[in-house]
Amino acid sequence: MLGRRSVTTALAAGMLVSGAAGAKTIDFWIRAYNAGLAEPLVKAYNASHTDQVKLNLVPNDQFVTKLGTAIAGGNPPDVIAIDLIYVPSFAAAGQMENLTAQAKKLPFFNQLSPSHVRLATYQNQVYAVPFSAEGSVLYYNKGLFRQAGLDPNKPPRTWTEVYNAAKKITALGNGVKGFYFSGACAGCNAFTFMPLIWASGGDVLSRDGQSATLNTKAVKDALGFYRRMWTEGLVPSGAQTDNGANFINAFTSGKIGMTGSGAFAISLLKSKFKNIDFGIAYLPGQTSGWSSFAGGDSIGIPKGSKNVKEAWDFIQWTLSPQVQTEILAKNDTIPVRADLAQNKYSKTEPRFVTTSTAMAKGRTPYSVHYNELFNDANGPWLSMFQRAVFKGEIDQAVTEAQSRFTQILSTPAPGAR
Amino acid sequence: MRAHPLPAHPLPRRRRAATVNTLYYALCVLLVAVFLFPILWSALTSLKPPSEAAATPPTLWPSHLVLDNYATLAGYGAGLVRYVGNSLLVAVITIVLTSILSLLGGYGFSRFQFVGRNVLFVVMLATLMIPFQSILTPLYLILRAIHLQDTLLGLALVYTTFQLPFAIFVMRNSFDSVPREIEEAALIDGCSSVTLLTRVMFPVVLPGVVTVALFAFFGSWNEFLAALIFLNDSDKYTLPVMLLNVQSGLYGSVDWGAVQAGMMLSMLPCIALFLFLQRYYLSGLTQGAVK
Repeated sequence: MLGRRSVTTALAAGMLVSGAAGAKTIDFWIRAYNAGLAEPLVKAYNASHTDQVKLNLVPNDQFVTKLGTAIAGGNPPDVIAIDLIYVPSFAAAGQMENLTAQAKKLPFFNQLSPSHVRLATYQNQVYAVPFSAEGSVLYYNKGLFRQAGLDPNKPPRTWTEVYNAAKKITALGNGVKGFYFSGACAGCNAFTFMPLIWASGGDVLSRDGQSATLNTKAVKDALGFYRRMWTEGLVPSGAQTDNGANFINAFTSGKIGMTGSGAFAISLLKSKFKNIDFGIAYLPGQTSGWSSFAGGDSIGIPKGSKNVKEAWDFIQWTLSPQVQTEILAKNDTIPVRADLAQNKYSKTEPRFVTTSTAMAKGRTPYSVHYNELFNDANGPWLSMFQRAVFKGEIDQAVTEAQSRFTQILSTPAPGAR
Repeated sequence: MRAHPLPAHPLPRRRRAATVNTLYYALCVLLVAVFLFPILWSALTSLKPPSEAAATPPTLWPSHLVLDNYATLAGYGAGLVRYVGNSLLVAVITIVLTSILSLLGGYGFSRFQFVGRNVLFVVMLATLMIPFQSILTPLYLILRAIHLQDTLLGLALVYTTFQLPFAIFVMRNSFDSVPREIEEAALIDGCSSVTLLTRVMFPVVLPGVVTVALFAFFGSWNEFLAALIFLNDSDKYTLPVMLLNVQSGLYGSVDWGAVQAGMMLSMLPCIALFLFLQRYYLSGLTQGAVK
């Protein structure tokens, strides 16, 4: 166990310790939408520790730009929480402290979210640990299910069932549509469409992330399934141009039967849209099975931090049982440790059990080129999706994406030394 | 906009003028409506309940008026007052520095003969062509070296630097349009250069100063990228950065109600200042245009 104080006493409510002599300030950057999760956590840490954490919220899409300038300017923060998919490329670029020794000493290291740990590992070295967990699932509007004569307690479990339910819900008319996806948002479709491929036995990258595996029946069938719902008008026409701005708004309007989303939407719906009676199911495979995109943030220390030891103390504290249960789970967030997934708070909201299970069994593509491949609005992933779903050129779209993927994967990692 | 004199016409002159006037005003009203509609839309959306603001397809009129979106802004992070205060402080420093420096610079370029005057002026104007993004990192390093990174003063200095070329250009034109006889008279009366500038010239070039100040305000009040990069501490963020934080969720999802409320807030001072100072502003821009 590292650190000057035992982690178990960390949450003991203490007096507010104001900058005692020798107290360090730990500069902690997160993406702004994580504020609700990080603020209570930082508050609790500062109340019980001499070192104080200063939380800074960076606009979501500007995080990489801002961090890049800070590292280039020799003034990086001490701790960052970033989207787990970026850790491979940050590690490859030599921008993260190697945390292998400290992380492997954690008694619960093998309980940490497997997807996070896999993505945080580059060339057998660990550069980050899980901070927040997120799993993609299928949201469905129970009220619309009832109106369409469907059983609200029997969510669809195959693509055919999704299609049939969407057709019945769309038939309700009055602007109601059966299904929704953000057709111009690369990240949204990695999060909610990729699991349909995984659940049907396909994949987008090989296990080692070195080659593309798009040219398969599972990928083409998944695109064909969306194409069919699109051409038959089961999806609102606005979906084609939605760059993610309405990723959640569409479902919260109460006029959408089903949509893929994540655990984060549960607390939003519960607090702001009480009139929507919603259920959560797994994102199904073509004829059986299910899958999920294990997302969320990883937490690590950027190269050049002047307070590496204090930063690690703080990171280690965020993984303690009290924090995971009394701060994260209590605030509707999935714990990142498997041994804490079932806790007194998860029992009160069964929908969270679904999302935690989804996250724990979920997958995440591993690539130092993740951004170029999957997140870029002009990248091959979204181009393939749009050409196949909105133009119907499925074979050509998949062939083109396969070759563009292969070309990108053959280049060295961005910033690699 | 003036109606062209029309050829002789069977209608009496007064009736014809009335018709032309009616058409002219109708066209003006139409144009005003086109430009005001988006602003009205934003104002209405900002007063809708959040769920209604995000509704697709959108509705024009709110079902009932609520201040929820403004409450979202007010309660964010360190509180709205803090962020507005940051923006105002940066804007005020930028305005003061830009006005004073461009007044002196414009005066110098306009009234003093020195070697390389025109070359220097062109070089200074050429800096307008440097895209700000390309010098982000060097600027960051300079600010760190002088211990002004992550300070509002440092940010205001960056804004002032980028405002100055245009500001000096405007002020030089303002001074150029002042007749030399005024100066000569003042000098004969025993004015020094400094007194001449502050007591005699300043009142005459005031429209130019107001124009420069307005531009400095708009530039610093609305600027996003520099504020994002040079400020680390999110309690020091200016309004544009804070607004982006409030409105954006996961995967680029947007809280439309908060966006529109933020837009109304950031727009109001700009509109108020412009209306209040437009008399100066228009003459300041055209000063020195005609010799």
